[in-house]
Amino acid sequence: MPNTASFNDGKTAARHSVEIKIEALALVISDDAGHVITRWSLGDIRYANATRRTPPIRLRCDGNDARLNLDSDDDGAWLTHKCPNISKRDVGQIK
Amino acid sequence: MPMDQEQQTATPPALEFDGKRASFLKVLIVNGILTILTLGIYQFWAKAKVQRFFWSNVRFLDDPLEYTGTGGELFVGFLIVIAILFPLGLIYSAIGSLVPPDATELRVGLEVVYYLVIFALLQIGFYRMWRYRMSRTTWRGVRFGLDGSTWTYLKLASGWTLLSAITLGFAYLWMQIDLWRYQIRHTRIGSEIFKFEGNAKDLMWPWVTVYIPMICIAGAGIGIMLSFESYTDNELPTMIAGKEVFVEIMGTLIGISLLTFFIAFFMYQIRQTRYQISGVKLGIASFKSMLPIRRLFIFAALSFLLMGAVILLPFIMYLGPNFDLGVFPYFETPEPATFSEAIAPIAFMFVSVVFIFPLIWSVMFKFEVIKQLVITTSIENADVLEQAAQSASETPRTGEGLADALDIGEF
Repeated sequence: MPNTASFNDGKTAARHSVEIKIEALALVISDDAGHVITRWSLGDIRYANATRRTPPIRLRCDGNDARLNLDSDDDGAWLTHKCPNISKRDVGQIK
Repeated sequence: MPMDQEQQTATPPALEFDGKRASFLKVLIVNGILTILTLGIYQFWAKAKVQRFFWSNVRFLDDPLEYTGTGGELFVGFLIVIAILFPLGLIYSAIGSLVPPDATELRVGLEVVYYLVIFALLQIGFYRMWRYRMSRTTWRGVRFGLDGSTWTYLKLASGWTLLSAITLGFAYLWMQIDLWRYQIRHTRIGSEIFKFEGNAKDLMWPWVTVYIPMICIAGAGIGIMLSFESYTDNELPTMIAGKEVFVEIMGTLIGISLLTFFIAFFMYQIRQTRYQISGVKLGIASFKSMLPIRRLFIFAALSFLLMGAVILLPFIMYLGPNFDLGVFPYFETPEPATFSEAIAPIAFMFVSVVFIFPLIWSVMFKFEVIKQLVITTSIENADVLEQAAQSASETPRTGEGLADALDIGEF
């Protein structure tokens, strides 16, 4: 069953309610109607704040301005454990 | 309770601050140790960490700000600027050595040019620092930014500085507000540009409370100087007969004016900050600041008290319950008994000034200023910021450079 989260697409500051689930090696982010908005490769997912590990978890995708905010009661373990580079601090996090 | 007031109370504030003083202290202690161990090189990474700490603890409409700058960028920016400043310093020294010692006018001219260049660099450094910080700040993935021209800012700052000098400092208030207006009118979130509505004359009376003691200090100082006879390099000045009472009165006036000046300037700075924030608009969204004067004054006073206590600590520890400055070895004998007794107070003073005092000031006062800046700022129609769209503008590649080289803008 997919988890819920909020999503900023990196194009505007609007907040979108989304459903998220892992499919193969990607995180699939879909809107409420089930349409896929984007897919993030698990290897590209990073913590938005590299020093924070406690909920609410905020994630980003390398080379992308979009942000994903997991629900406040979701510690993200189901997802973060599958992201090999999640703690990586890339130099120049902006495009 | 009226309906409107009830709704207002129920609505969570647009800006919130989650930072804890203890966490900040931990960040500063680790930064301090690493900076000492790396002979200062770590300061750029330390600065980035402090900025990240504050940014990530500010939540706007329930989402935190993000700071994406890195210590590496700040370090590269610093190196670039040093590569420019170092040859400039060499040129200044070379020209200085060519000027004959008796060519006073030429020497003064050279000094004037030198300080003008430093002034220009400070202005450029400040504007570029703001540009870098804005470009490394994001909210919900949308970047802030600063457009505008550094040169226009420099021209504006130079013009106002000249006018301030001509008006004996009175125009300083107008300079502050006009530079802020330029800065804010070129700041944007995504492609939405902020604006500033305000007029310096609204702050004129608070400014007068600062200006009057300043003029009193200058006037009394000149009065005292004129009460002494001219003197040569080898002689101390002597007071003109009959001027003793006048000098005493002027001295008292300087003391009172200095105290008044510091208190008035502190209060004025807070009022000016409130005014600057309260004039910021973005579309139909408007900001309002209620930065508290009394609370910040208490925190500043507590910081100074704590610093005083730190200075007294070694005396208290050395003498225990028989605390009396008169029996401390330094006051008792001309030479300290041992090497460790000689070096320990110096080392303690060094550590206090370089590490402990800035630590106390940052944790007690600066932390409180930033916290209060955030929690006492309200935003009407804040939802409009959700419509901000990402801008395609380019971002600077390197860090604050000049600001670091000239040591401005700690956070």
